[in-house]
Amino acid sequence: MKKIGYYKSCSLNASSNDYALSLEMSFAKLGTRLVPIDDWNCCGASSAHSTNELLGLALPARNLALAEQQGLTTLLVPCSACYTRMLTAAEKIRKDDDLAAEINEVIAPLRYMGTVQVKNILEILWNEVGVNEILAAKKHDLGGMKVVCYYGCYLTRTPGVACFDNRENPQFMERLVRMIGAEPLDWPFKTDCCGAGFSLIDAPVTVDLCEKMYERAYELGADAMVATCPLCQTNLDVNQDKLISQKAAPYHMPVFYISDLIGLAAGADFGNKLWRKRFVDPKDLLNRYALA
Amino acid sequence: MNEQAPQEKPVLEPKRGLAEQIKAEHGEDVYRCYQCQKCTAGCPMTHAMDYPPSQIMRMIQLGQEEELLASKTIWVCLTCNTCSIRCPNDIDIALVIDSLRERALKKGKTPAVENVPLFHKYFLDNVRKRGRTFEGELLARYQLKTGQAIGNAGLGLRMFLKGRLGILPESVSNKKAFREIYSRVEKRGGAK
Repeated sequence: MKKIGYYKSCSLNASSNDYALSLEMSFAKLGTRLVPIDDWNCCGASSAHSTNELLGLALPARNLALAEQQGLTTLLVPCSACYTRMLTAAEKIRKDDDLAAEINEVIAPLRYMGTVQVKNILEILWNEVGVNEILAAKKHDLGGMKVVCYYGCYLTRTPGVACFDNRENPQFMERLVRMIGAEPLDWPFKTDCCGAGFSLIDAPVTVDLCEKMYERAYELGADAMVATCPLCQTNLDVNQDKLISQKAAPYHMPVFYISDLIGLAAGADFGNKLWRKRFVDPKDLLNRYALA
Repeated sequence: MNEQAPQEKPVLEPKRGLAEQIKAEHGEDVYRCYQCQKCTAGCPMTHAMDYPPSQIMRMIQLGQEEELLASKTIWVCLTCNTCSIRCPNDIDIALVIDSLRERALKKGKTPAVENVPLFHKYFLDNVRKRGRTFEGELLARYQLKTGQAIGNAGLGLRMFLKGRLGILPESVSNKKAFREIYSRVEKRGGAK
């Protein structure tokens, strides 16, 4: 069984433990084991880098040093906010010896040498798990389910680091969902900001940012939305539920993680233990596509 | 008889120094900005800002530090990085705005938007304690302080019922060693 390093992170450990469940169950179906970093810490996103650059680099560096010590050379960072911070720290340390020395003094006795490859979920699915494995594991077809793929900010926007996909019009998620039989729609909001970082600070700001995304997705006939980040998923799910109950919004588009769909296709038995954790209930939709 | 001396127009002399300091401390050269305004065109938060990102860049070039550190913009920015990746001169604008926030805190400026720095402070305090966030405690502290508790209590309860709120905090194995990271950053002049 293939092993990949895994930065579980605060969200997946608590308020988005449904993502952890989804990832772990779907990866088991794909013959890949996720190995968490022992003794990981919060990477500080987004408060650390927002107020103190050195702290914003040192907190991720501690995790990178621990992963390196454990021999985890390829590291999945499922949360996009964590991903961009871990990637930024890894790249800055790699490119700047003085900065590397300073950060290593801050995290001593730990020391990061620069050997860890920080990867997001799409890169891991595409390059590490592999297209062949995903196709070989496919037991169910998603039957043309119409989805909009949401990348948000940080999957493709880490300044100063080459991006795995097109920054403004990425396609990896569309390719993945097409492989398992869903129909990705051409939707212009896929890299817009949903404001998730502010969902605890100023919720109304985020409702406004999300509403225009729902409107367009609904007009296009989307059955569901697909996300990769726990902050985006929760924000899109909670705000949609809010608009449905408070403003009688006409849409009902469950917000899946990419791992939910990959797992469903591979026959993962998620059932109520996963779906009950969501706000916009996906069960009717799954029944309609014979995926429940 | 009532003739007055012609009023002198105020002359705005650019103050050098701020852009140079940002370059030295954070590596970004704001003098590269030539006001194409792509950053402002793509920014999702300009409606809530007093100065759009392109104007922030210009103000840094002119050394208008007081106005910058008292601006709403630096607290309203979501750091979505749209500006940074679109800048034709490769200025990481979001990082420059991060640096202004850091500067405002270091200098003890009163923030134009109160809740944002408060949240960041509580968040970082929370992480300092155990190395991992304990969301329940963070939210309780922040929402009680800002009076949002009643509006958000329903959401918290639903998250709890869905098994998505941890009841017990988790921590790294050696909290004391972890806190050293914070102390060392502070010794190097980082904001508290």
